[in-house]
Amino acid sequence: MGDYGLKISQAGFDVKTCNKENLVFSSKYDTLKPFLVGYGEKTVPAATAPYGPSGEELLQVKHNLGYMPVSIIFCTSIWRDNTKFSPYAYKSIGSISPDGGQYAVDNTYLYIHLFNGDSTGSRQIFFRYHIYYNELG
Amino acid sequence: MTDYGYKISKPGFDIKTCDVKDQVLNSEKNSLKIWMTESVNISVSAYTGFEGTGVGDVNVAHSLEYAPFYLCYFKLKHPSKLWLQDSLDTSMLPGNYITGSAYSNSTNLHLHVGVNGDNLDAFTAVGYYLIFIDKAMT
Repeated sequence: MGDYGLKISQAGFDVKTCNKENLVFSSKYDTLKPFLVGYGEKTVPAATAPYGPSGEELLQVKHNLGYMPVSIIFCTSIWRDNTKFSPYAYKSIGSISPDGGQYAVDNTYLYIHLFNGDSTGSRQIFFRYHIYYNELG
Repeated sequence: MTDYGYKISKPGFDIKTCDVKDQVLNSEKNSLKIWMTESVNISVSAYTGFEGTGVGDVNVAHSLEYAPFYLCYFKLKHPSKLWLQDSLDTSMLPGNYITGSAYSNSTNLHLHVGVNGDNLDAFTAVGYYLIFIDKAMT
């Protein structure tokens, strides 16, 4: 750290000498700063055949930050159980219809691609997204 | 909290009484501190249908001496989208399956791009990552 700054240590650690792992905060290190949190649900159509293309829905969340922000998304797709949320998710690729949530960001939008590999019917899939001010790259 | 410490509340909450979830900072609770955030090019070989083709790997040394908590994003074939780790580049579906994945160990963050598709040419992917001062390991 330079000649100025702020550091806060965990209880029991001397802020002047402790490792960075034992600091609660240091102005030397950036932290994730939440910009936008949201959640919802979407009914995704059934796959067209047991091994055919999955049903798909694409949601776009406008963040308008002008750069690609750090984002984390959770959804219930792969578990076929709306109490179970996963951040990075796909299950079965290749010739097998995948369940899953595929996620991307660009300078304007967060994209949430939800897939339903179940050919027996549409499914309601829940999701939650976290977009941070932090810029990627 | 003990007799000393540091707390900052969100606007609209009384720091003396509010819950931890309504605090921006609490010296009794650790926070995720970013150690490194960068991007790196990943050369992906052409996919010819044989095992070991259509892959690209890069190690990023982090010097933390433990396997750290991280987040990764990948620029794959889509011209503008960055895909979160393990997401398929859906612009290539159906037929081509391209994804970025990663792991950390005590030396490196390892970024991997894998292709499974229709004889795709070699290309350069870009991995974006954040490494935190916290452990992913047990």
